[in-house]
Parts: sequence; C-alpha cells; structure tokens
Amino acid sequence: MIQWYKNLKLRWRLSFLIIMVALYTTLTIAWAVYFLWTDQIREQVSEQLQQNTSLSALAITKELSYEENNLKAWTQLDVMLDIMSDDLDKRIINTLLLLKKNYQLSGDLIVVNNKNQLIASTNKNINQNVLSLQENRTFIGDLENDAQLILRAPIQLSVMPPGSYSGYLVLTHPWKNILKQLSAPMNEFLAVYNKNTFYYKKETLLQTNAQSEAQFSFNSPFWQIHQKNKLHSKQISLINTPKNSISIYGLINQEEAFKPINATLKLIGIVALLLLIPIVLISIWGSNRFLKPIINLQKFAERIADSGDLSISIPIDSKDEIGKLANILNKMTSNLKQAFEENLKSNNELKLLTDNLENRVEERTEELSNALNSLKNAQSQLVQSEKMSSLGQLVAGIAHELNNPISSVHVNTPMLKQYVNDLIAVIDHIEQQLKSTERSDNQRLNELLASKLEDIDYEFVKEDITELLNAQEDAAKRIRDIVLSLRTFSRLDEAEIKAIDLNQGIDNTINILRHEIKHRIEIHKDYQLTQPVECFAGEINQVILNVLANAAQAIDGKGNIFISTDIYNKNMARIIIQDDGLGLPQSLIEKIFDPFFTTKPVGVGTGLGLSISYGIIEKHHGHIVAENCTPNGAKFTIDIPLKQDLTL
Amino acid sequence: MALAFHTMQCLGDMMKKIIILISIIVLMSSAVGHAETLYVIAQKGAFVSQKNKNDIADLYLLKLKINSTGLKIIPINLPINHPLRSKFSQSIFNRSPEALSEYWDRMSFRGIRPPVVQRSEQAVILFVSRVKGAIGYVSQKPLRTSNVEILSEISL
Repeated sequence: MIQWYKNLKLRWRLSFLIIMVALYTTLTIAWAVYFLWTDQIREQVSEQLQQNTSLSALAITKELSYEENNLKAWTQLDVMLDIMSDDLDKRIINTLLLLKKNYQLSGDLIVVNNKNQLIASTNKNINQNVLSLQENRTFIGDLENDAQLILRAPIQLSVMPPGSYSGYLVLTHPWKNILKQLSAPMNEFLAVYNKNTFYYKKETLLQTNAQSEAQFSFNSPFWQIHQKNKLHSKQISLINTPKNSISIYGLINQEEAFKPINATLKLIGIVALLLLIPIVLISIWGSNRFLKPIINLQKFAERIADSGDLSISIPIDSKDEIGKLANILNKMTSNLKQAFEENLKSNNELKLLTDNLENRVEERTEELSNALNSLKNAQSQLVQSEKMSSLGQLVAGIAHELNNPISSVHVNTPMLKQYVNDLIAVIDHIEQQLKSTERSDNQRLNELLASKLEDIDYEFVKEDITELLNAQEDAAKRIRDIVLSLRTFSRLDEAEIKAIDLNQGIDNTINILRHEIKHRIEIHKDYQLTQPVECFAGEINQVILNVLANAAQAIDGKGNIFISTDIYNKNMARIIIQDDGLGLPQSLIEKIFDPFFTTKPVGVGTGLGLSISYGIIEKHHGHIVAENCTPNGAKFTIDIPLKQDLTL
Repeated sequence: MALAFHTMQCLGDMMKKIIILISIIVLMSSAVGHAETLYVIAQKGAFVSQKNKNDIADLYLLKLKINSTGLKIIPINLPINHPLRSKFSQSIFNRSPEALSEYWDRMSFRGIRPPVVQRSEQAVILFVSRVKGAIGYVSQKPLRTSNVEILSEISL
C-alpha cells in the first residue's frame, strides 16, 4: 500500500490526501449527524406519537368537558321547568332540537325526570338503558358495534328545594365520533375499555380482546400486533370513573416510525456525495493547478537533461518557493553552461594538444621504427655480407685448392680411358690368339688365362670399367664445374662494379643449386637479355641464389621453375623467376622482405635471405617485387639498371 | 319489563289527556252564558288562606316571595300574547302586560326575574299541581280530582 502510494504521481498523491481528509471529515460528520439525528428523530417520533395520542385524547376530553359544561348550562334553562309539566307544551323538546341543530351535536339530547321517565328526546328510538343510568360518562352498548358514551347533567330547578334533582339532561356521544377524532391524527391505536383491548386501524376495528392488557410488555417500546412491531405511546386516559375507564395507546409501525431516519440517512448520503464530488473535483483540479509549476519545472528540467541544451531558461511566473526554485535552477543551469563551455574549450585545447602530441609521437615512432628497421637491415646485411664475404673467401679458397687436383683428374681421365681400352684390347687379342692356336702349351696358357680372367670376372670388369671411367669422367667434370661456379659465384676478385653477363650468372647459380633441384624440378630458361649489366656480380648472384632457393623450397615434390631475362624500359634488365609451387599467402606478401621473416621451421632458415636481397637490389637502384600468380606459384620480378651511377 | 313500563307511561299520558279534554269541555260548556271568571290556583294545601286581588298582584309582582309558612312562592304566567294573560293583567294590575315590562326591567337589575311562563293553561295546572308554592291562573275551574285548589276567583 505504502509502495503503491509512493509510486503515485505527486498530484495524485496530493489529491488522494485531500480526498482522504475530506472523506474522513465528511464521514465523521455524517456519522455524528446520523447518530445525533437518529436519536433525536427516534425521540421525536416517539414524542410525536405521544403528542398525537395526547392531543387527540385531550381533544376528546376537552370536547367531553365542553359538552358537560354545556349540559350543565342547559340545565339552567327556564324551559327545564317544563319537566314539572311533563313538557306538555313541547318547549323542552323544541329547545333540545334547537340545541342539537345549533351546536351540531352528533348524539342525542334527552331529558329524563327524577323518576327516570323520559320527558323529551331528540330521537324517538333511544336506548332505554339511557333512562336508568346512575353515572356520568358511562358507556352503553357494545364497543364493537354501536357504543355510546353517555354524558349526564342533573337538573336542579329553582322552583324545587335545593339538593333535590328534578331530572337529568343526557347527551349521548357515539363512540364512532370519538373514533373519528382519534383516528384523525393517528393511524393506529389501541383502546382499553375496562381491561378489554380493541385494536383500531383508522376507524376500523381489527382486533378485539385478542391480547389482554396484561400480555403486553409495557416496558418495551414495541409491541407485536398483527405480526408487526409497533411503537406505542404511553397510556392516555380518556375517561376514568370508578366504574368506567377507557384509555388509549397510539401505535405506529416500526418501519413508518423509522422512515424519517431512513430519509435522514438518504439525505446525509446525498449531502455527503454532494460535498464529496466537488471536493474530489476541486482537489484534483487544485492539486493539478498547485503542482503545475512543479510539473512545468520538471518538464523544463527534463528538456534540459534530454537535449543537453543549457541555454533553455525556465520561465518564472511566481515569487513563491517554486518560483525561487526555478530561479535557482536557472542560475544552476547558467553556471553549468559556463562551466561546460569552459570545460569544452579546455577539452578542445587538450585534444588539439594531444592530437599534435600523438602525431608527433607517431611520426617519431615511425621515424624511430624506420631507423630501427634500417639499422636492423643494415646490421643483418652487414652480418650476412660479412658472412657471405667470409664464406665467399672460404669457398674461393677451397675452389682454388680443389681446382688443381680436380683439373688433373679431369684432364687425365680421357687418357686413362684410352689406356684401359688399350689394355682391354691387348687382353682380348691375347685371348683370341690363345684360342686360335691348338698348341698344348697354348692350351694350358689359354686355360690359365681363362681361369685368371674368370677369377677377376673379366667380362664384367671389361663392361664395368668403361662405365666406371665414364662416371669418373662425369664426376670430375662436375667437380670442375662446381669449383668453377663457386669461383664465379664468390667472385672474390670482383668486389667492384663490373659489367657481367647475367645469364651466365643465373646458370652458375643453378649449378650451385643443382643438388637441390635435380630429378625434382625442371628449369625452363628464356634468356632474351643480350647486354651486359653493371653490378656487384657476387651480390646479384646471391640475390638470384636466394630467390631460386626459395622457389625450389616452395615446390613440394615435382615442379617447374621459369626463368626469363629481358630488357625492360630500355635501361633496365629484368629477371623474372616464376615457380608453380605453393605460392604466397596474400597476408605474407607485404612481410616477405622483412628481416627475420620466415615460414620455415626454426633452424631451417635465417629469414634474412629475401631481406638481404631487397637491400642489395635497393643498393643497385633497382626493384624487387613478389606477387602471386594464377593458378598457383609465386613470381619474383627483379629490375636492375644496366648502368650503375659511378658515384655509388 | 321496559315495555310494560312504557305501556303504563303511555296509559298515564292518555289518562292525563282524557282528563284535560273532559275538563276543557266542561269549562267551555260552563262558560257559555256565564260572565268570564279567572281562577287563581295553587297546589292543594300549599296556601292556608284565600287571596284577594292585591295579594295576588303582590305575588305576581314578586313583592312577596315567601308565604307565612316559609314556602317559596312561584307565580306562573301564561305567554304574553295569551288572551287570558292580558285579561288577568288588566284585572289585577289594571295595566296591559306590555306596560309592565318597564317594571320588570327595573326588577331585573335587582336580580329578580319575571314569573315563569307556561304556554298553556293545562301546563299551568300540571305545573301547579306538582310544584308546591306555585300559583297560576286559569280560565276554567279546575276539577276537584286534580291536586289544585282555588285561591281566588276573579270575575272579569
């Protein structure tokens, strides 16, 4: 509940609060009013009933005493003297008729003499019991039927001695008339006549003696009559003589009695509703209106927060707390805006500075990295060239040393071959000769020779020796070639720029790599270059060796290497070395000339070969480019100027 | 019982009426050929002596209210327009009844009201016969059987 209340909007909370207060107040007042009124109304109803009953009883008793007074007065009429003459002149009856007419009496007037003889009456058919009555205010007849209340005044004539009554003036009063008077203000009532009860609704008798007086609980304000709860008044006596008593109770149905209470409840409900509805409406309207500046403030704050536009200023239309708050907010916004602008400015400056710094750092770093790279390159090239130079010297030395013995082997081998052939011819001749003679000693010699030849397996030797010699000749030739190649390759004597035949250089290099490529790779040559090229021959050879060695290594199993030379752009020599091996991944092409970059397992290559080659070509003001060729394989294009700048 | 009582009362009435009728006839018959006479009557035994004209005038002017025995005297008049009343007035007071009204006006201030009026001579006779001290005047001589006696006879 509290959480729900907290989640409500401010204006709903305010409205809710006001409504709650209004509800509480209204309900409390309604409750108080209801209880006060209800008590009062209950009392009033009860009092009203009591009053009605009393009033009607009073009216009746008043009327009765009025009639009694009248009767008394009428007894004093002179005409009453006619009782003595038995109303022979009919003056009494005339007077009675006149009285009845003028006083509008509902009952009858009767004059009886002191011997209970009828002297005069306004009605011929009178109840004879009237004549013999001894008491005033007596009922005759049946209360359920045609009961009559009898009023009686004694007639004392002036002509008779005092204390003696000459007769009575009697007035009958029909019970029906009394009922009429009772029922005029009362809907229902109970008449108790000499301990018999009669229940009347208006003038109609509904119940007689059904419940004797003793059966009512007079302490309770309600009786059950005709299965209904009736509020009753106190007992009011109408007539109370020693012999006759008649009293009444006013009755009213409980629902009817409580009707005003229900009406009051309804009225209170309507009033409460009439009070509450405008309060609710006013509270909603009022809280809306009351909170509108705050909501506006919030909207402006939201706008500022959302758009980040600090130039928005909140309109101030009041000088109350909200106005002050708006003012403060505006100040804060402007301060913030100023601070923000300053911040932005310094940020920009800082950024500019940082950017500059970064640029400079980058530049420097690049410079440094370039320097480092070139240093590395230089170092590695230095190492390599030093190494190669040492190697070249070694190779040159070995080649030089090997050159003389192998030259002798190479030169002597044809002569050895001649000699062996000659020897074989001699042996063959001897054998032939021995076979052709039939001499016994010859025979024995022949057999001896044959056995000796057989011992050495001469036939095989004769065949094999030729082969051996051929092979030896080949080997010697190869050794001589290698040595020559080594010498050419190292070119120790050529450490300066010379114009060389590149094609021959390439061939020499192929020779050096022969063991690597023979039986496996077929070399396709296309030499179009006819002009000599000015260069450091040893270094260029090294470049070609490196590229060729890479190509050979790139071919897994059998393959081809295409080598072509040509003039390019008139002043450049172009060497293209292409293989159909694995090729170069695109990602590696850029790195391929980096120092120490290698795809080979650790220990197999230094990763310097191509880097050094790059360096050498650069040194010659040429270009070396590596590219992939379709469908597979790699292609190296090397361009070298035909003539080098002498200032190099 | 009530019926019997009623019947008896009716019979009583009848008897009274018959008596009155007979006395009227007798009076009428006696009047023919006779000078007119007024009879002043009272209950039998109420008054001891006969009254002369002056006595009767005093009684009727209520100058004398109580007789010698202490009895209250109640004079009875006939209505003012009754012929006998004017004759009686002329004879006793030597004045018409109208002329006496001045006297009664004066008397009424002293609390004395004019005599009781009975409309008919029969009623006078009945009243006088029942009320002791009552005196009345009639034109016919009452029957001896009735409870009245003549106090004075006044010839007109």
